[in-house]
Amino acid sequence: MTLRHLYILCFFIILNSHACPPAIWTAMIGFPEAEVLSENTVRIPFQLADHLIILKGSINGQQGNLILDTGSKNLVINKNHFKQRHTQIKQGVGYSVTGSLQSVSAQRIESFNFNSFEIPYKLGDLLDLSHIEKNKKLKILGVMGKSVLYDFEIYIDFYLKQVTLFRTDNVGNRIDDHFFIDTPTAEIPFLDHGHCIVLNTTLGTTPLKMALDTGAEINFLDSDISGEALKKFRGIKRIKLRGMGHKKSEMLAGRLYDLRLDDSYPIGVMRTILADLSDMKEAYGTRVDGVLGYDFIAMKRLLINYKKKLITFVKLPYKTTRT
Amino acid sequence: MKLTRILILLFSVSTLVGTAQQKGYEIVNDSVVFTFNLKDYKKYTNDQDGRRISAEDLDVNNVYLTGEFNDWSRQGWKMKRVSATKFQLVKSIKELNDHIDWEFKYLANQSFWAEPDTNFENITLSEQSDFWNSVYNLKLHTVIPNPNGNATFTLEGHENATVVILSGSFNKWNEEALRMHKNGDTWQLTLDLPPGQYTYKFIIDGEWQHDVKNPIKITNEYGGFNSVKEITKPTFFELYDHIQAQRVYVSGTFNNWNPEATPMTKNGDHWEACIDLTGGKHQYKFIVDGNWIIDPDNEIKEIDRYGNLNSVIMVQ
Repeated sequence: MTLRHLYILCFFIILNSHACPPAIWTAMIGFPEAEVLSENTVRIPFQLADHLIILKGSINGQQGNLILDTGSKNLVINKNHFKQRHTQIKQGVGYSVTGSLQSVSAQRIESFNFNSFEIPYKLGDLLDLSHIEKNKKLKILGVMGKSVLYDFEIYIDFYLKQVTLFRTDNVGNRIDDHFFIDTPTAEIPFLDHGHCIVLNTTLGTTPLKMALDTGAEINFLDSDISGEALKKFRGIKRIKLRGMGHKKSEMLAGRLYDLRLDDSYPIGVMRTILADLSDMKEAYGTRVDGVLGYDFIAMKRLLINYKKKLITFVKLPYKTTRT
Repeated sequence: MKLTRILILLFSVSTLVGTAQQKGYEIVNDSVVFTFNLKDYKKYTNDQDGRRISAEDLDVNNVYLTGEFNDWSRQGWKMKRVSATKFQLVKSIKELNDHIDWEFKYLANQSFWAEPDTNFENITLSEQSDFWNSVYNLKLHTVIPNPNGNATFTLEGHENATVVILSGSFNKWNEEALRMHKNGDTWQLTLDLPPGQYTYKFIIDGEWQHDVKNPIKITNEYGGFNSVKEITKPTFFELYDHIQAQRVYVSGTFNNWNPEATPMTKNGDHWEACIDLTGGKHQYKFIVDGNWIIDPDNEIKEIDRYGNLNSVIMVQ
């Protein structure tokens, strides 16, 4: 039995000499499977692509999927499906959980539509998301970040596998409050640093600022935290990870023990990657000691309110048994 | 504006000669039986210095199962010796259904990686591979054929085809894992899938084709079609405390809120109905002698766009 590998390197140079005239691009984003409750409230079922929250959606009639990502600043458009013939308004900020950034151009998105309601004038970044599409085997139109979500309270419900967006007033109260009938169990304030949700946590006795990022498929911890706190991390294996910017970096995978929210609420053991996050300031717009991603939010029901700077945990149902 | 792009395309062509087999695990009912057979491995790699040694030079005393499912832990999943040459570990498939594909490897004496060769069908190139040296991990697919499953896929004709693969959203469009079996003039494969809607295609000797016998299809991003299969699950609704009622119905999103489409039958101290439902969320109510009520035994409720309070059931 033989195995042969033949590697051929081919180099192509493509020259493109078209100029891009300034223009404003109107993006109409829809959710075909959404349950529109009112002009201020919508429920959108989600599916998981491994550990990413995926909403079926469309942009300008093109059907596909959108990633819900609180770690992203703007609406990111996959330039694979929306060619860059529109204007580049500004150079935006890229982001990547493994730190390797690529040049990002931004576009002005004129309106955002959930069938009957719109959010005007959102900035969208153009980024090549083909590596996510290839990995997830899904057509990804874009990523919904903070600027899209800011005017809503976002209810991520892993029990009913749906995201409910409640439009809020200026101070963050739900405009159609009567659609929320579940029972809150805890409220945790967060800091709105950069474009990032930053939670005050305690690891052992060490206070840490952790980013809550629904687009992070795994948790991260900065290798630069104190030695005392690092004792709560147990490394298992060196791995290579790829982020938004394609480049792979080597990191240490392991488990994180004894992390508490707001010094009060214990969180269970979570799979976590220890890495140098010093470059992540650009990614999140602020310095953080770690990132809480899928392992933190999975199987929870929680509300994120940017205006009130508050995370609200909701009671999980239990099955009643008649005796 | 001038834009210059340099694309580097890397082609990898591998040729396999002979018949490879799925090795290293077997899915039996709801369990994954991991088996390490000393006879399957000819080489080991020392974890410390990366040197390879021959199997004859290693006396294997213990074996650990390490992989993506346990974050490549080298201590947690110790295997049990079941014979002179075999070690086994049984895990519930529920522990592994977080992903469809997992990479794993066996670690002998906590220091030596057992290297699978091309006798294994289920191998995949590891990150450790380089230009000169191929290193493989084993691959586990949690979606496998199950003759007693709930979803049979059939392709008629193509008698002269050599290999027909079933690929779909249920296995992340894997192009190798699910080989269909030839049965007379048809190809067939049965899977056991959770309730939900799935898209799929056949790969007939490398050519993708949707299921022409299945009228339910959607357009895909390549301008072609993906066939659609809906898997349902019998779901029971029960209502207690209204045993004196004359007529009871269950009505919901699954029957377009038709008030009389699904009558419930009296069974001892309760009313019951069984409906085949697809995966996902369903809202419903009971209608007791004309009065619409929510399910008193279900705490999951939602308000719909008309302001009605409904009970909610998740089928999964």
